[in-house]
Amino acid sequence: MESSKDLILSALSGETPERVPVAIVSSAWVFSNYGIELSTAYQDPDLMTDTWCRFDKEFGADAVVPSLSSTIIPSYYGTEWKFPKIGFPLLKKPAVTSPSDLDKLEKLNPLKDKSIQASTMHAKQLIEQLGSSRAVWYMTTGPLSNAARIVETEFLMECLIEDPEFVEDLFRFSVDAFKAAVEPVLELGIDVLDFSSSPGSPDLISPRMYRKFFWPFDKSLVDWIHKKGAKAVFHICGDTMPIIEDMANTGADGISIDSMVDMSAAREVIDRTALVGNIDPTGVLMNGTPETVEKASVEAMATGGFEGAFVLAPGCDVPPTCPSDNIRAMIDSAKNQGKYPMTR
Amino acid sequence: MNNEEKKFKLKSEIISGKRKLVPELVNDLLKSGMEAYEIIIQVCAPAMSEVGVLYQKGEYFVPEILMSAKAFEAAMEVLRPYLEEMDKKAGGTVIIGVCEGDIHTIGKNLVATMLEAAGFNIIDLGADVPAKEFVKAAKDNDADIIGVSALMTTSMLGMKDVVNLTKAEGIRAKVMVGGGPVTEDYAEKIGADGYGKDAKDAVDVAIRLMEGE
Repeated sequence: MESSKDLILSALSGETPERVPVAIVSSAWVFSNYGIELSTAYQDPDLMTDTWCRFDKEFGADAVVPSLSSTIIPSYYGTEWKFPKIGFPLLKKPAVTSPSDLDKLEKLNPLKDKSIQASTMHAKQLIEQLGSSRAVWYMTTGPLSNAARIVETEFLMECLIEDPEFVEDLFRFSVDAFKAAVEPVLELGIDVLDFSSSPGSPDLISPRMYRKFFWPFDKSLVDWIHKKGAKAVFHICGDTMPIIEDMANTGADGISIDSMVDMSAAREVIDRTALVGNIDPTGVLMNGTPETVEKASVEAMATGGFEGAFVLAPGCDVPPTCPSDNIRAMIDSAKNQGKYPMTR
Repeated sequence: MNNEEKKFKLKSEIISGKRKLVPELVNDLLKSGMEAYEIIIQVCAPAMSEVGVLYQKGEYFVPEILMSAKAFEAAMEVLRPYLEEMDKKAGGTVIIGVCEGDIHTIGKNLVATMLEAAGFNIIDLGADVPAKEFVKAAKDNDADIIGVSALMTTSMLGMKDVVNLTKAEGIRAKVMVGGGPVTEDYAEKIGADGYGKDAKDAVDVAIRLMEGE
């Protein structure tokens, strides 16, 4: 029998494993499920690892997902946050408010940051404890997503028209910082590096603008991840259908898609590149029942993963208030109804 | 340039999001004797409405709309002092803000700009606004509409609190909701009076709510 790790690596290689692998790509939900506050978790590798091991034992998904949270690299440069009791961190004050601020920022030194160190140590612990059977799927907020947290998203959107040169400088800077933070983790031998590039979403900017400003950086990041020996999974939020072919053309092994993307249509365009997704985190996982989750999972597997090259996963980050029975129903659906060959 | 040409130029500058020439064009039109209100109704509002259509058609995206909103704002800055004597209630008063626990303001700002362009009096509470502040502001200003925005699935839950509190306090304002993860189904489920799919749609819904639908 193939191990969880084999299932995921096979799917991400465009092949058909024994069954559909399933990954809960959301440490925010996992930590919340065990009552752990996000703001403290991210600096405590033992706590993060224990929590993921507990989740692994109780739920048995095919991947464990250490992460580099959305706040870490922007905070390194001075972005300030508010951490609500429930929910995701809120940007209070961005590190950079004018183009000239960028020149004052130093190169990122991962040894100088407690959260980056904790994240790296956490990944190392999971590789040691579960890495022989489970896929270690390192989830990051990607460099171009970080860029919209180093400056405010609205400012970034304006600069795309009024100051394109600054956008390129900012993106280049953010990519360098990202590589410096993540390189030690890649060297540990993780299986998958998952990164987002969400300000490039067609919900915000035109496909033309995506291709001009974002794509070259996304492509070079995928190349770099491959050179370091990991599979690259690439996520953009929202309806990415207009740019999904471009996303696949970066050479990414898996394209992680949000719930509004039509799986069959996506499959047709990207051929054997793996699809990762796309259970609706709000409508289905948070507000649904185990029955509706099962129904959505079976449909996603049949449309996106009928002939392999598919990992069942949430469409985007899972709200911390999502009931655990729904997560369990999603995992069980893959195990019980995701066997290949599939019948319609 | 005669006045017609200037009006046409101002409209096209707003649509294409170029704000540099806007204040001068507006001042010229004012000097020629055109009323501030007419400039808004005949030029600025139709320009923003056109921007809304371009967005719905998929020709414009957020950066383009933001640039147009800035050009519109540049016109409003010149015009606002002239508007002060006007009856602001003509188009209704809207309390607008982003749900508690959410700081994503782009969508909310665009809706506020479009509503202002359509003649509404806007009271913008900003981001991360608790339900009781929406309701307090609605009471204090005898508002017609409360507009609540959210981009995050976690914060969107706060919309329900605004609806419930509005009902509990028995104030007359209607509640409309919108934003990334919000759907018509969700709006209906929580008992909101209206749902705006995007900034353009939000204006249509607000006008319908004013007509007492």
